[in-house]
Amino acid sequence: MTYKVAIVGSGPAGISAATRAASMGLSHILLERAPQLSNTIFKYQKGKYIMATPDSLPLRSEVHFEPASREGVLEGWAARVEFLDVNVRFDADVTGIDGEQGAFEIQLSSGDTIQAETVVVAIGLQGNIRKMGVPGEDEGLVDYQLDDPQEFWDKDVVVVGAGDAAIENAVALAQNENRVTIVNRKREFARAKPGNISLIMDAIKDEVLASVYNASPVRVEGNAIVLKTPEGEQIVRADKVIARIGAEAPRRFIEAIGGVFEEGADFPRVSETYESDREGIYYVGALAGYPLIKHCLNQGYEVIQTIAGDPVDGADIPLLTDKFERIAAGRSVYEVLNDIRDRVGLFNGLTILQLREFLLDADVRVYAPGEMIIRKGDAGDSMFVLVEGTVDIPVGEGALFHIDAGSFVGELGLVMGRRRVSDVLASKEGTTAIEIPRNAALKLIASSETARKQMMDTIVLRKMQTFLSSDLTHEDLIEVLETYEVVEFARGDTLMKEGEDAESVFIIQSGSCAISRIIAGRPVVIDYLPAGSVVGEASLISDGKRNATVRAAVGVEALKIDANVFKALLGRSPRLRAFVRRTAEERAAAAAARATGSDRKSQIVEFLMQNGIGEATNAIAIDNTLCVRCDQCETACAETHDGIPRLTRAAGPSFAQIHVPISCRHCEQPHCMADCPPNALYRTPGGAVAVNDSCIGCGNCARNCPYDAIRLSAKPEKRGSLLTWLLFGSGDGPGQRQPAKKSLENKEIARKCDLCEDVHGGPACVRACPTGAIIRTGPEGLLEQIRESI
Amino acid sequence: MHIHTGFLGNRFWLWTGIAISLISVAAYAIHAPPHGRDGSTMVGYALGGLSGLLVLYLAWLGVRKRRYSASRGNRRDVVSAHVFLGLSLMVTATLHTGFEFALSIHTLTYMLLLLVIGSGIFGVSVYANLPEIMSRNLNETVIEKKNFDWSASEQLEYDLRELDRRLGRALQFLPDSVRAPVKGAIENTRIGGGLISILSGSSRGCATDAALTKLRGMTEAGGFSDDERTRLGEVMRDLARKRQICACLRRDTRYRAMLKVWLWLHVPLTSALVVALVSHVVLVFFYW
Repeated sequence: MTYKVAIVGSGPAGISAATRAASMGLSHILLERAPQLSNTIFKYQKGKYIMATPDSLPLRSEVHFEPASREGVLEGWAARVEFLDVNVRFDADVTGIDGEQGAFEIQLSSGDTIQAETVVVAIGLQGNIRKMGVPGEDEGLVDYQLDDPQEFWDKDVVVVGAGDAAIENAVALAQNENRVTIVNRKREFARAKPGNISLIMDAIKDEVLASVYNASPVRVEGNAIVLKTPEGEQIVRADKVIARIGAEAPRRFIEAIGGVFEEGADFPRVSETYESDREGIYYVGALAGYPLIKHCLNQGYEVIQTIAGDPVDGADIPLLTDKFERIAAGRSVYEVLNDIRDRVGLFNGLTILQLREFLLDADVRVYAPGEMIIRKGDAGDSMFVLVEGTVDIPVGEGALFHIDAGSFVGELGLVMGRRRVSDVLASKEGTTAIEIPRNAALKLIASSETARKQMMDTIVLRKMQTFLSSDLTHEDLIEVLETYEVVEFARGDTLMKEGEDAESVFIIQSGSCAISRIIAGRPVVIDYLPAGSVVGEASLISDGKRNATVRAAVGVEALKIDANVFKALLGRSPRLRAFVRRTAEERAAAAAARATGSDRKSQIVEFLMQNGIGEATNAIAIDNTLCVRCDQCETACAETHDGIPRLTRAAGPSFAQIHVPISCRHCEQPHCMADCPPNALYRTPGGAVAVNDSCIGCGNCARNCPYDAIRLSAKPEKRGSLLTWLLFGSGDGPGQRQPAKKSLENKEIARKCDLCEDVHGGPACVRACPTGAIIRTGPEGLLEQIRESI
Repeated sequence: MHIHTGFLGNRFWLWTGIAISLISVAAYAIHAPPHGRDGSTMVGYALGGLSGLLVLYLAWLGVRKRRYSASRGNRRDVVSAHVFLGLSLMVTATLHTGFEFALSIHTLTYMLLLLVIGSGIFGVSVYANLPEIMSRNLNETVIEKKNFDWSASEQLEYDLRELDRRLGRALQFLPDSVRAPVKGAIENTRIGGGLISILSGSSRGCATDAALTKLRGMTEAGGFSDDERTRLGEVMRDLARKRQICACLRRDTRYRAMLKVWLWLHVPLTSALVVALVSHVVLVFFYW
């Protein structure tokens, strides 16, 4: 018989398509190469917790899906497949597709053929796992997956790979008392998620497992694997080799069935209805470039609707329609999307599918003239894209800077992670902006080169025009825009060195720097430069030699402008010249004043910089000459936060009299936010980095925090009253607290400082200190206080 | 040199305290009733009432400091008030007595008050001086910080472990005669102990010190080969460093104890004072 639709692959996309077809009564067949459904998820590590992101995307599928363990998800799907009586054929390995729409012939490796009018290819990528390609790998020693780390105990295991899967497997195996060696082809672990990178780096440092860098497998023989390293061949004993080196689109197969890969693309080209270049064949899921399970499920559903002749909009369309209702003015949501993409330069490089995904997290806002969009000094990290109207930015002395529709504002708060530097006011009736939250905006910059370039250009342009010199025109700056580079510095790297020739000017985008000078033969830290500063321009108007050393106090991203280009600008703009001269004089005066201050103070500043205070927005500093070690700060913290302190007074670095206890510093670019699956970390309007209720307790944030300021903990029992304790001995006594017991209802979740924003009067730790030894402040305030002391 | 402003830097409560004292003295000096200046004159009652209220207010600190989520005020300012008002209480209460003392509940109340204030003065002096001495004590003993994000005491504890490990390794190369004292230094060196030994902060009877003295005596007596002497030299250097760190940590423990121990007097005596004060007031008004 000829089926209406044949679905190849029973992963999330395939299952969703097949169950939809079954429930619509479409004649269908689901072809699966393996002997069970959803082979990739089936092969996940036992008990692996599966996330259901993105949260904002509604699910539309015949099968149910919410965050659960691997087993829970698989059982649910299998039950649904059985209930809907889906026609599944296992062990059906598709080798080719002949014919055309309406009469495809699908060849199986068994020699059978299957007739279908349309074909949905949902094979994902994991069916095409990369192999090491070395002799001996097929003789049983090598596996390309790890089902259950508990299966191995007291064995020599070699894990090949440096991605997330390799790291997770290696660490899980090491924890089960195996002797694990992880083999990395490169010099470092860079490809994995930050949380996994710190996981593996800690494990290597603590000698939980061994690592070999710059090594590639040569052959597998007996109970060993031979590696090629810069020092020569190395033989590593192995009872098992687990190679996790990724997967890729099965290019040859896709091209054979008529798929087209564009130049440099990792995925075959599909239309907006997921149809490939060969009519009647559709690609959905990871193969179409959507690796998230929820996307796959939705696409499986949508593609069947299309095939059945009853196309539906994406599950996100109703949400987007709601969002854009106020500005649609009768147009369809697609027209609005197209219009926005054309109008806003930042979105030019996106496909409509990408734009849809991206705008799902965004909010559309319409402002009255004069209404404030951004308030100076607020702690915001979202970005506003102007769709309609114009906005004004007061830049001092009554001057206004206009920004028109198509551009964006608020990018500095996003990139620098600091408080808003100026007000932004709507200037016209109907000014409309799309507010994009931090994570979505960062994703945009990461995924679209056009967007990234445009954002950087705009930052350079605005920096030059608004803050340096308003008499510079766009033409004056063209050369700057063409020649600037984005450079990154690791903590401690030198941006410029005292006495060297000045070759460039830097605009510090994110992070902060310490300026030091050689005084009496020793380097003395004289100042701290926050993000947003321009540095290196002063030496261009003097003798052309650097008069100070600038080092990155934390990871720094800076825009580097060539000295000659900047000099040409100085020649053209008298205002710029005046500005540069003035800042140079101010800095020189400040440097002279500080250089005569005590050496001790400069050492304290240096110590604070070394300990990352440069990237803090609000950190605790304890003055040890006042601290009586009573730990009231910790008790107060615990008492205001369900009995869980977020501060460890005694731990943490100290130097001279300054002690920086372990507690959150509310970093400009919070490391903890980098990799939070449910996006539970956010910045409050008051500037605190806080965790909301959606935390799942995965621990990524705690691992990512370089300052150990986040702890995972369940909620302890509520404390009983003093009286009941005295009379009946029930509950905890004064100063005691039973450790929290975790359970299914009482999960361990991330607990961290929230600056006591719910409590009047500021942080409890500061208020509880009897002697005034503890303060919470940003780096500028702290450094000022140190300079003014004595 | 403080970087932050401490609890003694509060000018408002300092002047309030001084003002209360001066006004009390002035009132006491000016008001001279014929039967003499005692607690039952107008000024006497006023001073007594003021003192009583001050005692209650000052004692209330114990409750207030535990109200962590109460939104008003900073504990530092409350402590400033506690200190300066407490000192002025010494003036008001003394004047209230009219310098008439006897074997009575009234004089007992006054004596308790003096003890509370006295212990408080001791507390203020340790709070004001010890933190700086403590951090100097620790900082001066650290030779090199191995890890810049450690505190001084973490570094010293690390050094101790490291020294013990080195001494432990050295044990196997040492002649039998010196093994016992070195082993003793590793296993029996104690920091802290009972209240007396903590508060004395002394290193008397320290196993490391004993081992060092013993080894010194043995090397002076001679009888070791060159190789053994070199090793013994190393061991003795390690022991000397360990002794230094232990002494430092004992001092640190002593300081910590001193910061706490005065409260053991101050707080119970305050309770006793409140009880005595109530009795004193009741007796005065109902059984006079």
